[in-house]
Amino acid sequence: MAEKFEKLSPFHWRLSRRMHRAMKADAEIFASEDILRQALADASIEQVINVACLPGLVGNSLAMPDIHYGYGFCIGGVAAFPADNGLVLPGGVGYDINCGVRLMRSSIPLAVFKPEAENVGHAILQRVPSGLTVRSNYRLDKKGFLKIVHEGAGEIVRNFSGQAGDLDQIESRGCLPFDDPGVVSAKAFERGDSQVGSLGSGNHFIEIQAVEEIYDEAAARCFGLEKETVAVMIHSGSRGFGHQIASDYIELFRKKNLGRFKLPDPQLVHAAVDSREGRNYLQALNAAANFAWANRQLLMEEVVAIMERIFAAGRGALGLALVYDQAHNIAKFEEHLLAGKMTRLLVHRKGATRALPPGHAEIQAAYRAVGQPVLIPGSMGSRSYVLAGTVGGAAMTFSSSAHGAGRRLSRHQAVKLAAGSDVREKLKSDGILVFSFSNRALQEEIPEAYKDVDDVVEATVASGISRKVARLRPLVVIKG
Amino acid sequence: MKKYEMFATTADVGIRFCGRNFAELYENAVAGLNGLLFGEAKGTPADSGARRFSFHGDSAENVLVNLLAEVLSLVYQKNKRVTAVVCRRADESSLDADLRLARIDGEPGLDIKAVTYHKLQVVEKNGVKRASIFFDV
Repeated sequence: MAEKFEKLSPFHWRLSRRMHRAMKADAEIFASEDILRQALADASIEQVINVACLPGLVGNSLAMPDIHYGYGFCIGGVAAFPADNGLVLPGGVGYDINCGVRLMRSSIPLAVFKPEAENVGHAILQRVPSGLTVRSNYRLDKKGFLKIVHEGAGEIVRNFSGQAGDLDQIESRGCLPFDDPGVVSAKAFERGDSQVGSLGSGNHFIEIQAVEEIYDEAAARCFGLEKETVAVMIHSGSRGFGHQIASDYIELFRKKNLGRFKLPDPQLVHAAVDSREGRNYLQALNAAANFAWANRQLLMEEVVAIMERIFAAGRGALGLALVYDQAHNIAKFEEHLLAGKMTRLLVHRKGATRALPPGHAEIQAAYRAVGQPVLIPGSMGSRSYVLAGTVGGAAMTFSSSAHGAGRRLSRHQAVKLAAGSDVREKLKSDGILVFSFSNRALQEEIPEAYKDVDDVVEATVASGISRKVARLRPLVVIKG
Repeated sequence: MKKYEMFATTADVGIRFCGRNFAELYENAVAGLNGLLFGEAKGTPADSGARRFSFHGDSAENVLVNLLAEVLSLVYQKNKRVTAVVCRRADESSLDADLRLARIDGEPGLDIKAVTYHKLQVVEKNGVKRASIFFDV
């Protein structure tokens, strides 16, 4: 199979539609030779090809450098369809709708933070609901919950906590249009309202990190990142609310698709964007996306309150401010340049990050000159990166980029590598304090279970889809 | 014939299971999911009632996804595990059963987001029905 790929550059590969009768578009992979080989081994390339077989695809079926096996789309998959008469696919978004990452900077010097690291980690673990337990610090009635899913992060900033300027630093200002609660099932509401403000489990985390290296001084200054200061990264999604919406609509689309198509994967069920089912799914998806943005805003505010208490100073004095918040499981209407003309498309990103280039009108004024921040977390023992969107990336990937390292080992294999307490001790010896109620979670998330994020970032940068701005080192990790 | 076995992919987990008839297939799917969530512990937890599951779909695959989604909902939303599936009627597109329940002490070992249709197909060979289900974790 590898020999069928045309090497467009050392980090950009193309499989022509001529290679497979059912392909309606080419498949393009942004990856090193090594990553491409891994993708061929885990059958994720097959999933990129399956997407290339869908009717109406605009451009090609794309995969980012953190490509790995998913359901329907591969993780790292990007596909665009016409906004007016194209397709929408829940399998192109994933179950955790608007799973995403947020980065908050501070002016707290590393030397000032370190003596309090244990206290900060412990306080976050105690305060923020995490893991499988259904618990929320916020008791909301149906009306209160509806406000959150209507208004997203804005509702939190206005009526709970936050800064008005935060909304400028969130993709789509933390809110997508939603005005029809009837498109969301009672079960989804039931699962969602008990989880507001919770972190979740698995690979979701809150990390206190040190800004370790700056690669692009101008961009880092623009994002407010200063070497040897402390930053906070949060990774979470739409919790049970989004999972239920995805399940509900996969079920509905499946019924509608039955007998009409022989899909290569039943997870590729879809609807026309302009059909009733398609419109309803997009509305429900927006509700889940808004929930996730509101949730990450609440999680950040919990950390702000803890930092203010422990360092006995206000957020202004501590320089605590949101750098950026972005989705990496989403489908959104966006305008992209196609054959010299701005065209409205429905862009699906599953395990992929939006990465707008410098000068793009949708980027807030403060960042416009350098491009949109792109956040790429590593595993709990490895570095995370801040990158920025590029003009080249905009042309090649509908302004998309990688979203993380991706697993290398199954959870079962990972658990066999070390006891949870050993993971904790090993990371402590590397200067990383880990907090979790679950030893099992630590075993499953052991750094060795993940691919090397440096390889993913190298491929992302070398392929030209983003450029490096800063590297962050974990100091304190809170795992669900 | 092993009732079920668990497997793992890099990102997720799944079960392979079988049954001589649809009732057994559905029961073993639930047993497999329990294996993933709670391990293969011996003994039966104390009974805490039952819940009727009545579903009429378009295929056995459709029944399986909805049955296991119901089991997950009981685990994560109601803190109950299904200890037995007592079938009233089970066929290739429907299931009417009482799900015997027990309260969960502690937490399940895994957070499963959803039951997927990925590669799900019930096949029959030598009078035994078999299927595999992937779960999104």
